[in-house]
Amino acid sequence: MYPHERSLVKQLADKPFALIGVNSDRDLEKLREVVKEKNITWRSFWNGPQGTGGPISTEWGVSGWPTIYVLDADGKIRYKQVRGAEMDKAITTLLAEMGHEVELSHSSPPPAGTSQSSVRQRRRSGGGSTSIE
Amino acid sequence: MKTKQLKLLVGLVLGFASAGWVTVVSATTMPLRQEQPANQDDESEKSAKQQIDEIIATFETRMTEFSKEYRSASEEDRQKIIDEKLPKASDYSGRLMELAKQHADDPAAVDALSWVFSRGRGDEASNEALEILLRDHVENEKLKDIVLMMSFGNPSQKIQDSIKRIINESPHHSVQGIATYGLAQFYSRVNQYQGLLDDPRIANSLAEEDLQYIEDFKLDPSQHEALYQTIVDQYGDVEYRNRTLGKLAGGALFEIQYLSIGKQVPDIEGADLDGEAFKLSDYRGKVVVIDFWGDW
Repeated sequence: MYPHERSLVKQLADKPFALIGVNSDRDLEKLREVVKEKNITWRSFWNGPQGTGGPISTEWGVSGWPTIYVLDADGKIRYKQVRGAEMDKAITTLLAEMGHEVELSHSSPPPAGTSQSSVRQRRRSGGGSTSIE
Repeated sequence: MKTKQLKLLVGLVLGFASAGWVTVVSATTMPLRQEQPANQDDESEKSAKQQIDEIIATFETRMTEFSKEYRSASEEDRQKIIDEKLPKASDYSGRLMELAKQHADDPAAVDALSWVFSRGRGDEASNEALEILLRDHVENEKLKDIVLMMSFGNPSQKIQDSIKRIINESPHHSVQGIATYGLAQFYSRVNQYQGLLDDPRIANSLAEEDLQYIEDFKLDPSQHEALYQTIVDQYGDVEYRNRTLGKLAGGALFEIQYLSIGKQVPDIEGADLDGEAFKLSDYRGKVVVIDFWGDW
């Protein structure tokens, strides 16, 4: 995820676009190190010391990570759970609605479609962990 | 788009598989090696409960061994391990069904039937087990462990009717509550399937009458919401696997009401990683990607 997100943030720096994280790591000190090390330039809410059980993800009923929402300029939810090329398309579509024609290209191609390989599922109503793929 | 749909379906199916999966973890204390549960005449002095428990424990032990091996295997070897080592419920369900029928009045029969139902995932034995459970044990409180699982398989009229029957006929508050939550989840699932029917691979995997049922299914979203609201109001105190139905149904309700596509996003107020307060609504006027993430 990081290289794709870094690339998005960089290419859209002068466009009305923001990537906002909600981070669910428990250890804030360690997280700050990670942010420095991996050059995570975008802003995140911290979900608190309870990690994935923190207040924001709980209120939103998040049960898998990452979970993605894409909002338009009015704050309307327009896409959910889009990744890689699909996320690019969602973003360019919404920017085009505002009159910004953008073409995105990434040095390392974004993972196609909705790869679930990095998704960490939390057990919910009796377990949704994909143990076999 | 097709890949996504297929993945979703696989996810749904795996979700069903893994509902039983969680129990595997706690199975390590079960008795070890027990030979394949074929015809074991010398087992006749053991009680029905002992025999049933042992068969289930054997399966769980093999499943634990399989998971361990699978997890430590390389990507290339995994398919081979699945083919050779993944225990098949069907190898165990025959003997369990036999025992359940021989000892129909023994409380352990319900354990055997529940196991065959939940592990069989819609196979013939699984359907038969469900029929017997509904016919002979609809008032049993143990149904609370399997009624939610009923909503995980391919949707059908039969499943809908079975869940409704349990809601209406169970005398137990907990079973009624979990069954009602199961019905609400079942409806969400039928809606999901409706969106997938364009894909012939999915349509072809369904029986003709189930396909018809899914195509004809209509539910007013407000009724769906009302059902979740009923669960929160009437069964909010019921516990299911360490969560309350109030929390589970409340989450589903919040998602329908505030987090569906087209809805105005609820604001988030919090602090960033440096402790500085900010709000999601500070970014109104921009296209925003919200990413729930963690570095793990």
